[in-house]
Amino acid sequence: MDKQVGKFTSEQIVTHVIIGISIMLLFITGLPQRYPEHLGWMISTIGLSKVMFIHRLAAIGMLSSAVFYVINSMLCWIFVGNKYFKKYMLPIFPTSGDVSDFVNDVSVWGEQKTDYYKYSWLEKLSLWNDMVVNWAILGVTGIVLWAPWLFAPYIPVGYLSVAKSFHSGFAVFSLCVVLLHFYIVHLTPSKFPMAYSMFTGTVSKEEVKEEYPRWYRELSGEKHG
Amino acid sequence: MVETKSVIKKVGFPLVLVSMLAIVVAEIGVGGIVVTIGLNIVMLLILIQIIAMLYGFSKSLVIFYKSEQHPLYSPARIATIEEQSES
Repeated sequence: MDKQVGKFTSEQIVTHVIIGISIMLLFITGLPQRYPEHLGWMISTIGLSKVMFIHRLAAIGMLSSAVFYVINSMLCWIFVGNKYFKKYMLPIFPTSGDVSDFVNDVSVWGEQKTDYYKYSWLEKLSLWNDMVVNWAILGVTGIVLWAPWLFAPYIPVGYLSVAKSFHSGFAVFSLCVVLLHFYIVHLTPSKFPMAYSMFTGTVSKEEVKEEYPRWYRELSGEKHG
Repeated sequence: MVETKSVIKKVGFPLVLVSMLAIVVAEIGVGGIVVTIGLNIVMLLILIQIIAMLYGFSKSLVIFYKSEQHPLYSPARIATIEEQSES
């Protein structure tokens, strides 16, 4: 058996499962409301009240995963220290290298290997899409749309329709990112039928060598190229 | 398996591209059967992801449970390996 390298913590695995299931349920129940002329069959089969109930239940799941992840990361950073931050949090921040990786991938798709570190730009895009778009923008606008009477005294009524436009517009953007995520974890030939690293928390050293050469060089003690 | 992978290589990217284009076209306001099919493919892909998520998570739990039941399983050994990989 290949030697395994830790990539995700158990908290990240649990958060990923909760957010993954909730966001898929949010898409399944939200898309028919966005495109009723194409996907109206779903609302007429299940009923709008049930669709909305599942949508709100999934929203609670997604927001609770956000709260859990943020609090857990902060506590780990405080109690475990900079070692945790450097190993699990620092690699997810976008760098200028991601831009050049993106340019390299798009310009010579499949011909030249990109020198990735722990996460590729597409993985970072999925993660930041979750944190900025799903948790912050969709979360806030979703709460406003869920209970407009709570916010009506404080914000102009016109803002509610803006919130609705933001909610559905950013949901479509998020869906496009999720579809790209679907491609990299399921439909990439080397990963088909699915990548298990997000569930086991580890990747084989061979896979690291193949897909994340810069991280592999760091693990084997070589200098950054 | 090699054949499956070559099929996936040919089908995978166009499938995702078609579904994303269907979203873009639907956003512009264009209707038609092609867009409806594209959006239904999107729903199918999302459904597959839910199944994959549940399958992957339950499979990893089973593996974890089985490894703990193995006669050679030792928490101390696992801790040592983790400590070595941390340093």
